[in-house]
Amino acid sequence: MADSYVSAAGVHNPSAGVDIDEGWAATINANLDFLHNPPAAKVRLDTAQAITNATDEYLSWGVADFDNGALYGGALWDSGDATKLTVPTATTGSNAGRYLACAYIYWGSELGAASEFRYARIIDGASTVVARESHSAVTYGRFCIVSEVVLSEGDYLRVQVKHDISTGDADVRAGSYLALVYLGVA
Amino acid sequence: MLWLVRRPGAEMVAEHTPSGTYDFQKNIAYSTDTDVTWPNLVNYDTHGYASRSTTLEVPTGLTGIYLVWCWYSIEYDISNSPPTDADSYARLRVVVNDADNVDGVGLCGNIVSLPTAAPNSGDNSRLPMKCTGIARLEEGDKLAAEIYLYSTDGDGWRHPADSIGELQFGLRWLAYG
Repeated sequence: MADSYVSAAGVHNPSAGVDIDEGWAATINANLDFLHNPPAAKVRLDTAQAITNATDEYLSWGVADFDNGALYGGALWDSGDATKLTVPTATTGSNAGRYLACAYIYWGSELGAASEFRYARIIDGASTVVARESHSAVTYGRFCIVSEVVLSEGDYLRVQVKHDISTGDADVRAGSYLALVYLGVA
Repeated sequence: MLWLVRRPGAEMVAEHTPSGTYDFQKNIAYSTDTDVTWPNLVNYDTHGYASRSTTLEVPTGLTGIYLVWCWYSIEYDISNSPPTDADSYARLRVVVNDADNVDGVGLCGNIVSLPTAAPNSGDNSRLPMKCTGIARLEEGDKLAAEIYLYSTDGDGWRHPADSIGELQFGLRWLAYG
């Protein structure tokens, strides 16, 4: 288990003008290790997910390409709660901070009329929209949604999609993904 | 500490030069994945990623989680005819090691419909495509950006005459992962 971020000023503040505490150097070192390999995970669909017409649905991820959360208190992705990437609670320090979120959504070949739409959005928690992209129907439409978001421990992100193609369901294809990487203290 | 201050990364941009080797304004073949070439300018390159004109390759020792982005615009050629079929499209896709690694999805991509009417502004019309993704890349992995046009008829779209900031292909190390 590695240390998450710990404020070095809480151990020793060099501006105080006294000898540097041994614990301060250890904290700086741990923080650099944390920045080199911070909490990060990427999950993707390993099979297509059929999305019902005119219905908001969360994508349910099938596999994690990487997830180093076990170093910092617990995995970001739980296959038993497969729609979410969750910021784990640290055992030492904190995993709260600014994160880079990226969703890549690849729709199937269903083609609707030009007036029909599809969208995908990254949702923080129950309903807060972090970022969204939409367009009218096009064969194999793709969304790349990237945003920086401030998250606390326990916060989670999901991807919600919707379409109104009149011909029925539309697939989000295998390979679509959601990634989350810690960037720094908020 | 230097590793974190100067995160490894590179960005290639395509710029038109009279003596350049790039096929600017050359028509793009339909129904064929064409690797975009980026021969004329490396905007920055911390560790020698841009070893080839079509490829960003992860150098030895730089395995990690990367942010990857690509912007590309195709240009309308007024001397040709636009597609007439409504489901024609243009696709930009970034692939790793020339493989459609998961069901043809690629690392990131963008698809736009090709208009069935000639743009009013003739050969200055651009159709932009942008994509951004995150992936864990191993040393030796090679990334390429592909353009694909689909139509049952027509032509009318080509590589652009110049960059004007629209043609970029880059990556940035974020974390070891």
